[in-house]
Amino acid sequence: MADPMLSVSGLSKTITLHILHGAEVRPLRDVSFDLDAGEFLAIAGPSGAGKSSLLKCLNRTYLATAGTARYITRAGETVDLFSAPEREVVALRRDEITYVSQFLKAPPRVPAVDVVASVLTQRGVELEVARERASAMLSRLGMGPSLQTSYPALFSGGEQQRVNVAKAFVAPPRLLLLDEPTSALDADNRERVIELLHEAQAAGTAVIAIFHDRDLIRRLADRVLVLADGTAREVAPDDDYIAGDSVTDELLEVSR
Amino acid sequence: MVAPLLRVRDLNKIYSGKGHRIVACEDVSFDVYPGEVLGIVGESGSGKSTVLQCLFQDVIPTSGSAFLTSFHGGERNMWDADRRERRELRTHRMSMVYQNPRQGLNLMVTAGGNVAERLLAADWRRVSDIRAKASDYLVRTEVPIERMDDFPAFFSGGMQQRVQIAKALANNPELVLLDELTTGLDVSVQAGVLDLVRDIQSRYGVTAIVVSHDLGVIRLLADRTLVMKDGHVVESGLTDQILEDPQHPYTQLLVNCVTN
Amino acid sequence: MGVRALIEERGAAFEGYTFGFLDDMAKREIRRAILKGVAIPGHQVPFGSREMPIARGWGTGGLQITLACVGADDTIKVIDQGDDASVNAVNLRRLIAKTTGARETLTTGDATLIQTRHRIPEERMTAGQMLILQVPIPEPLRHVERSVAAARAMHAEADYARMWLALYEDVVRNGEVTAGAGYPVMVNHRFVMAPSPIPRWDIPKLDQAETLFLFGAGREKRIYAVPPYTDVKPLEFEDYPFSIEGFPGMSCRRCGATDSYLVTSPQADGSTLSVCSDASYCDDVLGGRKVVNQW
Repeated sequence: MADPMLSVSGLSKTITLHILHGAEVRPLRDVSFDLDAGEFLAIAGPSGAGKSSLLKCLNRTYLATAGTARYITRAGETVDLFSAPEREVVALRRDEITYVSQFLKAPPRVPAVDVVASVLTQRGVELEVARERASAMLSRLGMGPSLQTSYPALFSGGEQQRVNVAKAFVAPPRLLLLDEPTSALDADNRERVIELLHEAQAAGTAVIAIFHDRDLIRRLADRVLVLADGTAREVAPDDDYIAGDSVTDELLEVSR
Repeated sequence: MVAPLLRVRDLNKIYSGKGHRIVACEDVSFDVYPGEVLGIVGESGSGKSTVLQCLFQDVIPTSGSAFLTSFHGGERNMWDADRRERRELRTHRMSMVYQNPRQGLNLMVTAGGNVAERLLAADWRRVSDIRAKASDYLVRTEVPIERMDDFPAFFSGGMQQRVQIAKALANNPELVLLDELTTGLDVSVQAGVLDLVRDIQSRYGVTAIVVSHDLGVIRLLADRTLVMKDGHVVESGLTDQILEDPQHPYTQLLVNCVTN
Repeated sequence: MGVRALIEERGAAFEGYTFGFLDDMAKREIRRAILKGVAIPGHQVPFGSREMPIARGWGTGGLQITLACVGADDTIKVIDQGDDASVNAVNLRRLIAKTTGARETLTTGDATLIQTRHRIPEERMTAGQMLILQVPIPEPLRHVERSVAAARAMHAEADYARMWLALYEDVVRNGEVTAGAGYPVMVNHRFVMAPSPIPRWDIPKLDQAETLFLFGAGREKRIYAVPPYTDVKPLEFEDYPFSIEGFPGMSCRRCGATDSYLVTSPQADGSTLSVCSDASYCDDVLGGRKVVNQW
């Protein structure tokens, strides 16, 4: 059997808060999992369980304290995402791995369409072409032309999230890291995102996504990683945890 | 893998005199890759500007080496350059945008002339070509073209900074050094200048080192960041990592001092 | 008494002075500076400018070169802005003649050694002749760089961007390079040189000339040279080429020449009077002497 596209092993994260007299926070302890190309892994768990930390470690926004994340690039090279040179991480972020945070961090005074287009221009797409594609993606997410040319800083939470989602799908990567992409969306837009996720998956994108919505997990995920107190446990999407009335269900409920 | 455009190793600048020894920067090492923006952040006196001044050779380092790919194939220490090579580095390969436009511009030479100087140094000898190119750079930096033949002495601070950036871009240097480019400006003007630099960077893929005490500037412009304190690099990493997962106590303090 | 009569007079030589007024060691030092200047065309060589019996700024640099080079069998001519008869020109010529016994002349073609201020003669000079120019400001970069040390570094590195920038600014402000007298030139593709305040008209004469040109700045203590057959090109932009002064429709009121550099002066009746700047040339044309004035 071929090696998985991504193999995370023994991931721990300890944050030492020097400004709080060296207090330590340990959001992740010895987390391991594999992910194949095109696979959809959902991450579930209560708030503070380390879900966002996990994605940030994979994106190198956080430095992992221990562990490895062996990632096989499109070119077939194996890279440890936790220790690869920054230069390589920058290249992977540009070409293969997209991380979409829960809250949009758009540069100030840049129109929404250009925020989305920048994903493409970074990969060398002509600005005009990139704008067209970005605009089409935003339209698909129900964002009209007048909003597209305004600054996202002025947007509502739901509008900001759609800009964020558009960034993820305007150029589907090999590995997509999503932090609650639908938390602020209405039902219609949530359906559109699900549609986009299906399309991306069909095109071979592997996804690691944090969801609180059990329904979404059942509809999208191949596998589920449940995080609680920094430790991970893997379950199937049709597991009782997700499907019904187990303890985890309560956890999920609590976290909503 | 792409080779670094610039490698700096063990840069030291120590000012010593009778009974005193001031370490401006010590054992500073880093790489800059083509097309990337490296940020250097730190408080005043941290040595961040000294690093830039050494790179632009306004200041001669006490020791250390810096290798620029295009200078003797990246095999000769830039700081061993003779006078002529040093000038060549400063006019053809690098450019500097100073915090104070008076340092980077001749205020009694027209805006166009300031930009033209770097072209003239590169042996441009047709006035029409020089003017076309200079106005091209001024347009890029949003200096009204009708002010091309006015003296920057009579420009606003923000406009002077735009002229300085236009000059820095002239002659397509491999590396642009930006020292606190918005520090002296009003907040609204700062935003305009920052947007401009970011836009130029994304359009033309300029390789740059941005020095600022302002994490907001670094967040906006830099791909990677060095954090300096008391002449030392205390931490380096991807800019978003520095901001979200700072390791060093000083960086944590710095990040937590930023409002919003 | 006319200027010619003054020459004819040839009074007694000065008593009690060494040959050529300067002492031998001074002459040697000046000659060494000249040789160095010849070896590095356009490069300013410092020298220990002496006190002369005329004031600094009145041609002491040129005079010291002349006295260091002149021999008893030389024939000398001294021009002050084209004119041999100005008080200063006459005094210099007499001083040189009386301390060396050299012959004096007003005719360019007869002179072996010509000292001049602000003009190069119209008549083409030949290989056997030497032109010594008096220089007020030897540093062409003076206006673009105040620091003498910085200007020397710029010469050393052939860094003339600032000079070009000044020309660019001139073109932007005035539509042309306005430098009239002392138009900057590039000597032997290496050094930018101040040709002394000669008009543009004379600039092309420096290029590939048969004659040796020596430049002396007494107050500034600099000597430099353009040896024979040296490229001397005015600094010019491709689209703003160098041009010499033109005198369309004008001729010399005295000799009628239309091919010489004219000086004009307003007259009481409101008209202007134009005459040859080069008095010797004017005399030649008037006297029907055949003169080659194509340099």
